[in-house]
Amino acid sequence: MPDRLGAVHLADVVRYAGASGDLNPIHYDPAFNRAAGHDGLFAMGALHGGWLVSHVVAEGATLPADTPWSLRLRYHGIVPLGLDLEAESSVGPDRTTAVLTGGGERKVGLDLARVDAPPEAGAGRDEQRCTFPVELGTAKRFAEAVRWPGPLGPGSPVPPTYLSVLSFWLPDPDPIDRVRFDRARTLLGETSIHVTGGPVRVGEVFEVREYVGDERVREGRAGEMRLVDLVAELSDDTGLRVAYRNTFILMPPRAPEALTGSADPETGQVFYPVRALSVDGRLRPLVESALATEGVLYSWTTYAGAAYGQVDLDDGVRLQVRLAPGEHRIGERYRLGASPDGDRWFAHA
Amino acid sequence: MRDVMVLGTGMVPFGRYAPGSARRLAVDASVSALSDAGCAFADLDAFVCGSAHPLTPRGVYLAKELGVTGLAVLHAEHASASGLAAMHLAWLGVGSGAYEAVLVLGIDCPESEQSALEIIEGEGNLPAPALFAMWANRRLHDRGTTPRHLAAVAAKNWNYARDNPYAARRAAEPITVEKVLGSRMVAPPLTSMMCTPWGEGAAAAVVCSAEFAARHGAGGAVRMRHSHIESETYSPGHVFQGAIVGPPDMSRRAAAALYEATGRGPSDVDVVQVHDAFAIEELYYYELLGFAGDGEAEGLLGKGAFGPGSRERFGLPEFSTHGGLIAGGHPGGPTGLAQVHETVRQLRGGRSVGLCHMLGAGSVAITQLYERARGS
Repeated sequence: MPDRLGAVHLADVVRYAGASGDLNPIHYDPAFNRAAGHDGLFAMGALHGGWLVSHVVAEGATLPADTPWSLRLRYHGIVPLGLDLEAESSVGPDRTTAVLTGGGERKVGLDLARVDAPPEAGAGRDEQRCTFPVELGTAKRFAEAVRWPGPLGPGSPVPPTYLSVLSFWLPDPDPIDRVRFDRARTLLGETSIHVTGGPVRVGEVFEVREYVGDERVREGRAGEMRLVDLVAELSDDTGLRVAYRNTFILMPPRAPEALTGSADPETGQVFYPVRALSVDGRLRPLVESALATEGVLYSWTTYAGAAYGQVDLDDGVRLQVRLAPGEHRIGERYRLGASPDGDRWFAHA
Repeated sequence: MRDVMVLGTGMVPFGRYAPGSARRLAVDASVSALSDAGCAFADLDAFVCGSAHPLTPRGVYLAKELGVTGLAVLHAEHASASGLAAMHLAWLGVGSGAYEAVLVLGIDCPESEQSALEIIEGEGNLPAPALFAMWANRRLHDRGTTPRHLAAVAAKNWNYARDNPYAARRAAEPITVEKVLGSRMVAPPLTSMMCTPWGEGAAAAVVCSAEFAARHGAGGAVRMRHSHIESETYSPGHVFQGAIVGPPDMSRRAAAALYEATGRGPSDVDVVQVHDAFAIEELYYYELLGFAGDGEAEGLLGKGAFGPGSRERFGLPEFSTHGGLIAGGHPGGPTGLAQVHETVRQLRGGRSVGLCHMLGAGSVAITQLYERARGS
């Protein structure tokens, strides 16, 4: 029988944002979320991922002190706020697996296992370093945000995903800035934590080297996805203790949908937006019609940093729209495109 | 329709007023208009309030500040054109014989801070400066208009405002074209001095029958000849979404209807107040209201037409003689009433015919013709 974990609510998102330093507004700012093309707010993967880790620990899974171990969290789909979540886990002495589901869909897969080899140092671009003290206060706050079982005190193991708070110490703390992906299209695909010498404990101090790994490309259903790892290596005087890796996925740009307008079957005139009746007051019903996606720029200007134009589409509709940034010319041809934030705009054809 | 008169007007200076000031502004502007008209609130049988901002107290509350007399209270809302829309209702009411004397109040001063621009954008519109900047850029492209022409319109209106104690922007020194061009860029080619500062305020007028005017000492009365409201008419290139106001041609139709109804023509008009929220608009209105052929506005403006002495030198009316919306201010509801106030002042000062013109988001164009009373 799966265990019910409840739903993520906005208060959980706020608590986790503060505790982890993940301040991506896509999770709590409805306007930003909408502009990025989403239908509603959804949790950070590491939030309910953290709940799942806490759940298996509460069910008896342990973080070994005597052998290297690795924890992998794979994110399969976003978790909208309010969606009831369930966990099904299998806890064993050498390996624990668990699946988090919501609305009948798999959301997160967890794999915690003893492994043979300790973590090894790697390399990548844009290296940055910091000293990372594992503080009791920040660890307690994080533990609350991920529902970590049991109290935290000096020397206690911290939740494995606590390493997210490295952002509090790193010179450039924003992972999405670091991987240079477009924030609105970026998702967290996987977190892996490879540890030797026992779990990270309150009071320990690490030297951290963080770098961006090689970029990979994968074909998805919606087109080409780009994947990149952000890796933090934590060392102490015993050597490399932890390799903490987050894999970010840049989703393909959403193809702009053609706008829908209305056509007057008698006159052939096309209108935008959709309207039910003819413009001449004779009350003729109109029919829906896809608008042309190209036209000629009638006029344009900029205001508060954004460019706006009126485009005379080839079917006769004059559309008032955002334009792509840059210089524009009246009389030239323009084409419908998608802006990075998921909105529509017109750019030079 | 029987004759309709404007017996008196009054207003408060336009500018910034804190939330909570609306009742005081309403009383001050109304008492000033009633006093100019030589009558009391008790003499009226209707009160029409024009306001645009949803957080401005409604007229039915403001009327009680002036008296609790049971008179008819009407509201007029047409965004920027609310004031002239209120005058239109009063004109219909008095002209039809339903009312003898109507106090028309235009007021906007929201009870809590919320910018009118945000409200306009909340209705799905582009920011207003962006729309009118697109009018400007198209004209620059088609006609060879330059930013200097826009600056010349703005400088003229700023300089008119220097003599208007009610104007929101009163410059200490004469304003030059260079000064306007050098002000902050808002939406190219429009600079901040080519755009209205909005603001708050109140202005009022007493509209009445000729008989009522005669009973109350009609020396200062002027005649409200006609009022016309034009909404959008479809033509190819019509922008339905986000355009605040319809195509410039609305104003051409609104003026033509006014001339047809009154038998007056552009050559009869001495002074004009227009919706010059942005300088490009006034340039268009020289042509659309019939005072210049298409493409002639820039040349005439360059010679000094539409400014001081224009009537005498060119036979063309002066425009925006109180500073217009650019320098006079544009609180919304009271803006049209400030035009009426200025028109009455001009007619009492010896001019014969004045024209007022406003646009309201959504949209409408309203035109009104005022004349010096016969025998005065």
